Amino acid sequence: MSDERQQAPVPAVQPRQPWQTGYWGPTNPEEHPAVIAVRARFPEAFEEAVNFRDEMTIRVKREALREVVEFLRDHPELRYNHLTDLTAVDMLNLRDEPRFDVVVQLYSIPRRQRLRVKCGVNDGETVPSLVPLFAGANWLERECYDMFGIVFEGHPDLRRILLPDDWDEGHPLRKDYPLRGYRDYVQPGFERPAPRVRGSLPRPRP
Amino acid sequence: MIDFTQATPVLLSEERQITETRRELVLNMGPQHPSTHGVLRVRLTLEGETVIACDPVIGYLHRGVEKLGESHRYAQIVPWTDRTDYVAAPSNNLGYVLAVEKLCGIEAPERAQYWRMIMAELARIASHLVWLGTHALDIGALSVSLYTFRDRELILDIFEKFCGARLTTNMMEIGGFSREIPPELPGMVRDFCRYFPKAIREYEDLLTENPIWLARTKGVGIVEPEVAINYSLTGACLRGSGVNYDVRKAMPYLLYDRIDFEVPLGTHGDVYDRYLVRVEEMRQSVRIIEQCLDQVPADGPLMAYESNYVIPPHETVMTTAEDMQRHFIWVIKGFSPPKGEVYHAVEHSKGELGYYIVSDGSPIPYRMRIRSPDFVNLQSLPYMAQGAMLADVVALIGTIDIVLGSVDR
Amino acid sequence: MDWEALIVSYLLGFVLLNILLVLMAYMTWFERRLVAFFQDRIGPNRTGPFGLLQPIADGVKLISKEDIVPANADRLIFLVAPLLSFVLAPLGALVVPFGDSITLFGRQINLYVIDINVATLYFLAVGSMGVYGIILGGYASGNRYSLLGALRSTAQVISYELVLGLSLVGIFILTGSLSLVEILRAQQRTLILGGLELPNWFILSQPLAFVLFLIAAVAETNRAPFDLPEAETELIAGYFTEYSGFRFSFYFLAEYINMIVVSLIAATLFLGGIDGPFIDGIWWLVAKAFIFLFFYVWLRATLPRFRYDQLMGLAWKVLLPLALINIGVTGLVRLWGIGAL
Repeated sequence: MSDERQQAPVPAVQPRQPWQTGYWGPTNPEEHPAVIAVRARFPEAFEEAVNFRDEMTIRVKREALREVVEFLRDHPELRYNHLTDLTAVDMLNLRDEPRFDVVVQLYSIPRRQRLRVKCGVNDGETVPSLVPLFAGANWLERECYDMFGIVFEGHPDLRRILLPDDWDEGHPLRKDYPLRGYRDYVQPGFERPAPRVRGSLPRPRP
Repeated sequence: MIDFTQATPVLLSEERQITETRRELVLNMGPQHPSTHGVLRVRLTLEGETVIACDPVIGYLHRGVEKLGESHRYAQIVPWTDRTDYVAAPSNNLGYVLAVEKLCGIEAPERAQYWRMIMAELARIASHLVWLGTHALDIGALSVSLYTFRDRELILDIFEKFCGARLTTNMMEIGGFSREIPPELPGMVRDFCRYFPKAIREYEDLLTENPIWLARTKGVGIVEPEVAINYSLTGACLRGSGVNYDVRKAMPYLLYDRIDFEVPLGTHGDVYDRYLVRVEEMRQSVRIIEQCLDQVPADGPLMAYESNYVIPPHETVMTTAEDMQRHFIWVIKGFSPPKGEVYHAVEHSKGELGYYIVSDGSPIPYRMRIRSPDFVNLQSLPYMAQGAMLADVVALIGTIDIVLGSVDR
Repeated sequence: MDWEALIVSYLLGFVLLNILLVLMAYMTWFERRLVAFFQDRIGPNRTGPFGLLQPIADGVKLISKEDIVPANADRLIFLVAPLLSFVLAPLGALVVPFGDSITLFGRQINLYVIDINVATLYFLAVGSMGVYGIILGGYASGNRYSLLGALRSTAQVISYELVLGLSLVGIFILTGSLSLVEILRAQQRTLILGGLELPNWFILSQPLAFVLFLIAAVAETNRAPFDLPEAETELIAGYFTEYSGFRFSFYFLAEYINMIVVSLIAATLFLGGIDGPFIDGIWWLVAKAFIFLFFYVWLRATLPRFRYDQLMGLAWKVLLPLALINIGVTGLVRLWGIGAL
């Protein structure tokens, strides 16, 4: 276990472009060990691997998210043992199906390498929770549920975290949620509600 | 009409519904409490003074910075990042600016990178000073907070000289700095570096060997290394457990690979080790600043010259026509990075601060996610507080080093 | 009954109470200035010269504030508890001898309000009764922080009361009296130690007891680093969280008066009270008490706070055995007559 806590020596990085740092593994998805391993292990769940700005993203089917992350964590040569971040993106304006992307940022402390795993999920579908694998996923998934309404199956305590428990206006980071909310709030000292100020760029309102 | 019932209702688990039995006392600590560092609320179930359940409740300072980020142009979000972790604003600027620069594929000039490092390290020291003062105050050492805040003033003076603001600095811009470094600033920073090690010795005289301090911090809130990794801890909370992960060393951004510094590691993972780690980090920050001052070029550009993404310099806007047009477009419309997504992490004073930006090719980020370190670190509080005393909870909140602006965003 | 003596006692007590109140007010000023000095700041300096009118301004402010009673408080107890604390606080000072008798208006007046033969016991009893105000106030507030503060205070006072009392037993053995006047007289003799002429202060013959008394006295008066019942970073304000206005100021007054009384008693018991070089007198007592008060403030500005279990552990596992050992050793010395004190 001791080598789990120690890092490999700093790789000699020769950046060709300012953003190319080599911290995400090989830029060619075909050469990336994690991509190769996941594709070999989960041929039906693996969807695609994308590299942008040196960052490797693996897209998998949502049902297999937990298995894939567990595989990446426990694989003796990959060892993505640190769940850095878990969040979601509402892809409403960019594509039709599926509605959300759940984005998991993984990091391997012994190998000093990052990896991003994504899965698409539609409204009303559930994503397997990562809490059984990483205790740190608890609040991140709660925040995801709070902000997007994505339900994580198997989460021990899925409730709102940043918004009040009795918040009944939906999930604010969805793209169809207006910036100033649905309701008009009367400010103290004013009789009428404050006029809505349009954002710097109008967004489609439901 | 809008359907508010779109999300599936979730049943609360049995354990979470804290019930007050005859032997238990539910204590609602916060959101107005002297030592919750803002508006954290912790619902404690006590048996006598022993904590048997601890449930942090956050969100009282939620301002929707991520939502606001989706409605502002890229350059307009920089001031918002100040408001997330307001005790170390330059580090927040840095994380966002680096992420956008990575998205655009540009890089700041060398001189600007050195000054960014100096400012980020000064912000780290300032943040650690606030942490040390409040943490010691929580445990009852009254005077340390006054000393640390006295020395923090010196850093704030440097910030003020550099950018005109003391707290919400908004000092970094996409592509570098647009204003020249004031000529007296290197001298101010050098004076601070000369003075500050003495100040650290003063704090350590008061605390490090103090028997009461040792009794209150040693063996309290132990986090084993495996558990620390499992809880996604970063920063001093992780390094206090002996896990060697510092973004500055692991994935050097800016020019940290040219700097010689050490990453202090703890051995036991208790409150005392995290205290030692942070105090040592302040010393290392001074070392980094001194090396940066030695290496920084005396003059040279401070702003990348990228015609697409960076605001053109003031002189050429006033003299050349195309720069004036670029400036006009940059201000009115903003700039459009290529489609894609980036995640960039910096070592914030509290841990790994990551910005995940999704661009749809418009001048507004499609999604801006802030991975704030203390939000993730705070969820280990129930683990640390198991079986602790009421007074330990206060020490644990202090040792996690939270700023609620950053936790709630 | 000697009515004149009684009236004189009442008058003395009245004068003493007023002096204590003024002293207490200026104790707050002294503490704030001193803590400010320790902390590299200035402290109150705007109200009057050197901020000397600050205590008066504070008093006026506190008295003119609204007296809030929480809705779920036990109303009667809530209102009475601060008074209890405040009334019991200065009683301990009544047995402190402030000097030998003086002659005034042709009458010989003893410079102490009362000399009872169990004066030290009386002081301990009054001190532990003062905790009732804290317990009742904490309980009656209907606030959980107050309740926890009251619980802590109860446990703390019971434990440290024991240490406080046992640390004095050595002195009783040496003097054979519980009366403060007798103890003071015993200290006015000279102790000849290896050719050196020293005052027979009990700090020299009972150093361990002195340290124990000092620690226990700090704990008894709820001062840092033992200020757990009112630990502001844990329990907001402990037992007086819900109090405001002049009821709050009663608790505040009681705490400071307790400090002064304990300092006076400690100076009398261990530092020879009014005894001193050149001319004996009340100024020596004041100077010695001042040292203790300085020590209180110094502790507060320097030390972190104990945890509850550590506090109890210190009392029961360290201080109490030490006090018992001290009693045993003193008893043996007395029995075998080595010191011939």
